[in-house]
Amino acid sequence: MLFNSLSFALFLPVVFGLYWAAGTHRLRLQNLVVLVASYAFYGFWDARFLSLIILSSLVDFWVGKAIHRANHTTQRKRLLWLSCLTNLGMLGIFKYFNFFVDSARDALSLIGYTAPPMALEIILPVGISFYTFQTLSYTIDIYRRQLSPEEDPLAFFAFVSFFPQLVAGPIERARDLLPQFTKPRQFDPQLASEGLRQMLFGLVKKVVIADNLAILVETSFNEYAQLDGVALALGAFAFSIQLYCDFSGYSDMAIGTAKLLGIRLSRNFAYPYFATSMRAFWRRWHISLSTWFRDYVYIPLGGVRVTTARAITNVLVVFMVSGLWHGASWNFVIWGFLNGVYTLPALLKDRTVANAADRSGSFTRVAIDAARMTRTVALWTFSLIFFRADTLAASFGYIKHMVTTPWLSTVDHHDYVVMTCVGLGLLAVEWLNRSRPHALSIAHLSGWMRWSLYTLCCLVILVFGAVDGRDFVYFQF
Amino acid sequence: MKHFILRLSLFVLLLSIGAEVFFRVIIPAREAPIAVFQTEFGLETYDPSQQADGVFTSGRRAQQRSAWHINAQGWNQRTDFVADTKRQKPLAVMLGDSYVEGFYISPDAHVMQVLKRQLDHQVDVYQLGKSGSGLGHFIRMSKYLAAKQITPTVLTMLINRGDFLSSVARPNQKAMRDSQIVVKDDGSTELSPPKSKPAVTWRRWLRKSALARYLIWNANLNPFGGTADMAANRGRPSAAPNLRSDPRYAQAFSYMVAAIKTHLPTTKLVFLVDADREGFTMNQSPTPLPASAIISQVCARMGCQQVDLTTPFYTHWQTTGAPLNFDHDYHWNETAYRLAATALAKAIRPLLVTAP
Repeated sequence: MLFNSLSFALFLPVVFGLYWAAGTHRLRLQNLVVLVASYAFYGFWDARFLSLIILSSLVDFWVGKAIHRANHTTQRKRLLWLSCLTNLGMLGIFKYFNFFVDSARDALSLIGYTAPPMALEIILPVGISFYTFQTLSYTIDIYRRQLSPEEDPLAFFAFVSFFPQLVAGPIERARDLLPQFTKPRQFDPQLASEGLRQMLFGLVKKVVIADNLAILVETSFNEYAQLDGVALALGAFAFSIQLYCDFSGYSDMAIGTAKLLGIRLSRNFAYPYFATSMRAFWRRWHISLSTWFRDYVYIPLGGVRVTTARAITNVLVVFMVSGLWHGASWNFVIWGFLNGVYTLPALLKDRTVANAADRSGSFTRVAIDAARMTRTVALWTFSLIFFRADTLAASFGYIKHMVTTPWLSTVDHHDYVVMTCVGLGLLAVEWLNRSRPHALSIAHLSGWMRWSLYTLCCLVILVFGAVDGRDFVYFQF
Repeated sequence: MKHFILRLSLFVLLLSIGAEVFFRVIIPAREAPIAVFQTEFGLETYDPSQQADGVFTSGRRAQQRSAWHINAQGWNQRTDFVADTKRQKPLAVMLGDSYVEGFYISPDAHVMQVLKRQLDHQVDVYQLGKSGSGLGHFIRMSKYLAAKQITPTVLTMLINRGDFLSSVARPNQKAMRDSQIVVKDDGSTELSPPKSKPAVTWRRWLRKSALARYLIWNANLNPFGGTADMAANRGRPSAAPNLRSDPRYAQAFSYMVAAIKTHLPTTKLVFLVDADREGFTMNQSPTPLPASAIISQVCARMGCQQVDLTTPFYTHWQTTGAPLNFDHDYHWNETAYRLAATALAKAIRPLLVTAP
């Protein structure tokens, strides 16, 4: 069930009504509504894969309690390994089996050995990369004695399967989300209103900007050999805007939906295109995943508290694993590696990365920041060529054409110029509201002004919103 | 909670009112006439008594807008049809689907109106078009003309991509639409019964809302057009191998020609065949639609005429690069209608000259 679908538009009011009708004093009933609604939401995609969420929930609920009870480190470690094997095992089979087998076959063919084909014909369950990481963080935090296990299975299962963030994040930490399922929720009209605003803005980003850009991006990447340098450069930029609007739009809708139910999810995007360095960028883009890798991979590897060479290795390993998380393809590994390389200068100089939004200063400072932001977006956009292209060969082909083809030819650039203006327009709107959690966070404005803006957003969605119901890009992860 | 729900409901109400105004004034939602089923002929026409005039728009931004008028007989034409005894000039009639219905272009740009001007107004023209009409409907329309004592000198039928496929049913296959020509295993053919769509009151009320009309009719298109939109509004793909190798299609077409000749024995029949415009944009060398070969074969045998638009359309496209349909929709634009009229005028001029 997509957030931008009629079925969700019917589903949400029903869930909202049942949830609050259950009453703020009947916590277990509210959690039951959440659980049933979440399973129904996920089952709408494919009911068979509900078994995987239930398995992950069962294993980690039991493992969490067992780790907490266990006294010996060895026993605790074994239980943690069980959780890791279950969750990463599911991920490995459904997402990475064919990738690793094909890569091994390719490697063997280099030494002259032809291995028999051995592919599994399986569908990637939607959201598996997200909820496995979420439950893993629960057991790891218990192992680290940073969290106590949840005793109420209903609350825990609701935490794992909470439908707004189930299929594409944000990846929530148990210490932030789980307590919200163990305390009564009061209806907060201001929070609910803010939630609706955030959903509306997310919808604009998704159906008006991302889905319309997708058409141009598809043409650019499928027919790059027929386009000139300008079109290819703008096509890559269009994809960077599409990806941002698609993913941050989904996050906004997820966070907004949760607010309607009185639950606060963590922020996942903090205006990444205003970052003045790639290191700062990764503190603003897909924050929940970045912090997950930081806390559970990077820091255990030693972080920066090791030799320079080891620190560099740690950064590159984390980014490449992060790339692999996005997709079972060498394209994503290279994308991750590039982004790792991008962050090395700041790591090596150990500079404090300043937030341009916090600075006030001279025109020179503004110009420098603008140049840095442009550099950041350019580097990010370049890496996204690998992210978007279907194969490595297509990635390199795209780049080669972009660089070697004459920059201006007879190609019609009208659509590219229009879409670039749309992308820059969005960034301008976000810049004006950069001190707020999202661009439509306008509770401070007068009533008639707010309602006018809501009406404008609704009309923009009606007139310009794509209606072909494209999946969210991050559903494929 | 109650206050929140009340405010939300009030906003939705005001938004609906605002949208109603917006889709009447700023981006006018499509207005379409109301259909009525004529049981006697098994045909659907429009009811002028309910709404005789309106503005048809298409596209999310109503990029295409044109006025329509339903005449007394229920067809989109400014003038009413009159019986043979009240006419002095030869009569050219065109039958067809939405292309002949002509909602997508201004009335003066319709192929028959352009034809009339090109023939120096020496001929009367009637256009009987109804969206979705196929070969079986042409039989019913010719019977309708005969019953109304309207005898065309020349009767032109527009054949579009996919018309053959959707017009001919297999004998063991349920008719997918009404008035399909069914070719049985024993070689006999028959026309499947018409299907009337009963008037539904709530739909009539829904049509009064500009917002509803916009959402239903305008908003099923991608606002920026392009390949996704073209794919959504492309004509049905022609199944070239089936048409050429399956004799049922030629048999169905022959059945149709024979049936029309029964109702209009003195009328000269001409088939105007659309080009494979999708083939132009895919950089393929232009070839006629697969139906063209079948029409040509049957016409040679049964004494009718064919005008294929492949050459004039492709020549225009190759010379100017200008499209022959809308960005957001596959229907002909005014250029295509003009080119079709020119080709048709050249073909039927000799037929009209010899008319009494």
